[in-house]
Amino acid sequence: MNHLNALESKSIYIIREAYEQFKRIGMLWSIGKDSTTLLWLCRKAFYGRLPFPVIHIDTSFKFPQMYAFRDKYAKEWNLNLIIGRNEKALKEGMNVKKGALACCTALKTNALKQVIDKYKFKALLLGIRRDEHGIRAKERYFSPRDTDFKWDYKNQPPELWDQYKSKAEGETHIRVHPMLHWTELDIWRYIQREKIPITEMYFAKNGERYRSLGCMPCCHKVKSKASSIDEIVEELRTTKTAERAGRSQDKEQAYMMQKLRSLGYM
Amino acid sequence: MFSSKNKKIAVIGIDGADPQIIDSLLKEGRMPTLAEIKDNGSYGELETTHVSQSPVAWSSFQTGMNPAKHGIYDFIVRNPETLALDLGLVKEKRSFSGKNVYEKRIMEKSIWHFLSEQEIASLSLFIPVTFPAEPINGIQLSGMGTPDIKGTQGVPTLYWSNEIAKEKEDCKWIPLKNEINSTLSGPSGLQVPIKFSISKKGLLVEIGRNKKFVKENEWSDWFFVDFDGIEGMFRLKVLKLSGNEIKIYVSPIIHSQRNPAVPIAQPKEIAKKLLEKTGCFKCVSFESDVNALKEKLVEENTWIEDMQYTFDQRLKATEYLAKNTEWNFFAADFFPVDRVQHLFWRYIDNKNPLHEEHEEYSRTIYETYEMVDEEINSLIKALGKDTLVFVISDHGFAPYRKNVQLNKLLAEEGFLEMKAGGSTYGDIYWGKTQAYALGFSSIYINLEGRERFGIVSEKDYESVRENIISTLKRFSFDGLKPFKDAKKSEEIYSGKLLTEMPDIIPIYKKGFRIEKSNVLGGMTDNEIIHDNLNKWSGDHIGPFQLSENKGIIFCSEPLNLKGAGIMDLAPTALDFFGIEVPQKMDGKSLLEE
Repeated sequence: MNHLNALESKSIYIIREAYEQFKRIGMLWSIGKDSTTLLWLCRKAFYGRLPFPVIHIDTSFKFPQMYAFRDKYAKEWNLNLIIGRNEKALKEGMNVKKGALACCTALKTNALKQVIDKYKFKALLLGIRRDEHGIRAKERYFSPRDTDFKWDYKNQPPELWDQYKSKAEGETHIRVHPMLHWTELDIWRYIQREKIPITEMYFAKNGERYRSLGCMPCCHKVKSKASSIDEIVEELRTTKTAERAGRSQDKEQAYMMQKLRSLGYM
Repeated sequence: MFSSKNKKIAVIGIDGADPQIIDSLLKEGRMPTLAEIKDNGSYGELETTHVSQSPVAWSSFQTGMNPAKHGIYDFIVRNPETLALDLGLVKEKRSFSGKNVYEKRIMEKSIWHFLSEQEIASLSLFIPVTFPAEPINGIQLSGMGTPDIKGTQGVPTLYWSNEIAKEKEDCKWIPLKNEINSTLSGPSGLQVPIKFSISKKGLLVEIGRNKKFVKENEWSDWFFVDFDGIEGMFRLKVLKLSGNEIKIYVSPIIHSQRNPAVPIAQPKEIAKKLLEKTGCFKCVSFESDVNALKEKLVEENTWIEDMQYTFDQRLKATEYLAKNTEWNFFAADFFPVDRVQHLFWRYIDNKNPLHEEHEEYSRTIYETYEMVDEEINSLIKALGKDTLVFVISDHGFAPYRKNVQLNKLLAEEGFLEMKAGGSTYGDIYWGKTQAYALGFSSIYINLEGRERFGIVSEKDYESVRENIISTLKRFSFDGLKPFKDAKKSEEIYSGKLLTEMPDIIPIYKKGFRIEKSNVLGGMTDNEIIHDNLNKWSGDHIGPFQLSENKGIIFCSEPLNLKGAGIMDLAPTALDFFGIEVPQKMDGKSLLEE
């Protein structure tokens, strides 16, 4: 079995197992390349008909191209799309000026909590990868054992990212990462092979492109000439820069920044 | 030897007490307690660590060693392998199932460890870089570095009906209604409902079944709040409660002293006992909420009330322990002079861009010294008349008038490059960056093999370093030369951790300080040198030449204090008890001769 087939088959196995285990499951779709690839894998796993909803946590600060892409493919792929927005926080004026951590917490973490509460999800599928974050991937790691593909969650307490493990065991949800073993380059090679549609923001225009997508105020382009998938694959083979270098911060960094800023000296 | 165990020695810290101000107040007869110690004993200036930041200096106090041995050298540090930033005070392992785990960063034994081995009891109270508190023979209450419930150093919240609250950090907008439902934010985004109701008796605050009335312009008592098994405590002040404005200041939510989830005290039970006996001693890094005044969430008067209350609470706890527990070695650091000087320096510095003469606040700094002097008098009584007493400060103080954008300077001189449109640490284009500034007094070379995306080879390291040092020394902007010098770490430190130290330590002239975005490895659109327009208008972390930023030392016995330094206190305490001073310590006993 070639490399990409092996990655695909392991991910599909995990996706099907997760669905079998939990039934009340949803998939988080950020419209970025990773979760779009995960969505592709989920569709493959269930022969094009997803038996569970796809959740987009909408901070209202995403790029217009992302919304357009979402709506186009939600329709084309006939997705049961749940859009999670923390309307109360948005009404009260939440935005990044109030602090990146406050903003992420309200518009991402708490919006997701509202979705989980409303739809009573027991598990969520996420497209995170081990190579994505030097420090973070190791900490946030919950997956089946590599050797026999058996779930280990009963012995190993689930490590939930920004969710707080609640006291009542039944109230927690499990996060499943079917693509933990993929690399950024694997993703692009797979997108190339499968011809997975991807938002055009990843392709270079005027010497710049997005390498990782998030909210508008917290995302920067990187210098690049790669204007096609083939060129991106080639660029990645030779680059030394971190994938998320163009992201001002994610929640983890935002937390760190808030912690550092709380030194009065700042 | 055995009899020595009945002896008592105490070190009282007045954090940030400046020799010049102390001298002038002594002359004016405004610090009678210290004057008496001086007259019957001795007084001098105290050499501090070259980088005169409190955590660095107090770590040298605890260990008797220089930073290349104890490992605390800047408020903010980075891991060269991952490039992740962190506080230089304490290591945090963040657990996403709830409880954060903290580890010490200080790499050497502290004075109370040596004394514990000899069964000599210590009281270690509010000394910076003692979080997490450790089990010692005696009692430890942690100081600067202690996180609040969110893991930060103390972040307040302003609940405010003004539209500005929607845009402002650390604010929660609330509607102008008689009943307001809002939330308290805890760790990991957890929210607990809080309800405010306006009534004739004032503001009714409800958290679960817990209810309290608070009148306008008054402080509440402490509230306890549970975030899914982690208990916090906070108090609030109702700043405005009128028909057209509601404004409520909620203090940082600190770890509950009744049932702390992290080690703020050892033994743990002492925290609860003190809560019962003397009240809350505010176990958090910034005990009086400097961020609230700096970010203009509260006015000076409210901040002063909180500062005085906190000092009072800490004194009560300290005196209680001094009187009611067995101890031989006592060390406590008191914060007010340092915090007041940071925030009120603009009132006494007529060259500060925000300088104003104020009937009351132009006197605040001096009155704080007087207040501390008065309290030391009562504390010394509590320590007992046969105690050998030292009063020290960890550094002096200086004006902070101009910001220096060190990273922008490095960028303009061709040593650093940002990605298109980027300005933060995360936007540094490592492939084209030779050096970057981080923290308050550190420049790192992007060295190959050490840094994650290092590009400067071992061979070129020295020449890049020399090049940056000479660039800093000759740099001028608008006729201003902010740097007096720049040093290599090995020129001022020695020890096995030298390789982890910054490659270059810039030395600023008085009045200049690194700008805050640059402290976090980034830069802003402002000029390289520009006015400091923040209320945080006094500082001490230049660093300046050693001779310019000394602290003070008083001793109740006549000692030769010439050349005394902050690393000498630990050896002095060992010597006092007849314990041999380890070779490794850099300081010397002040009791010799």
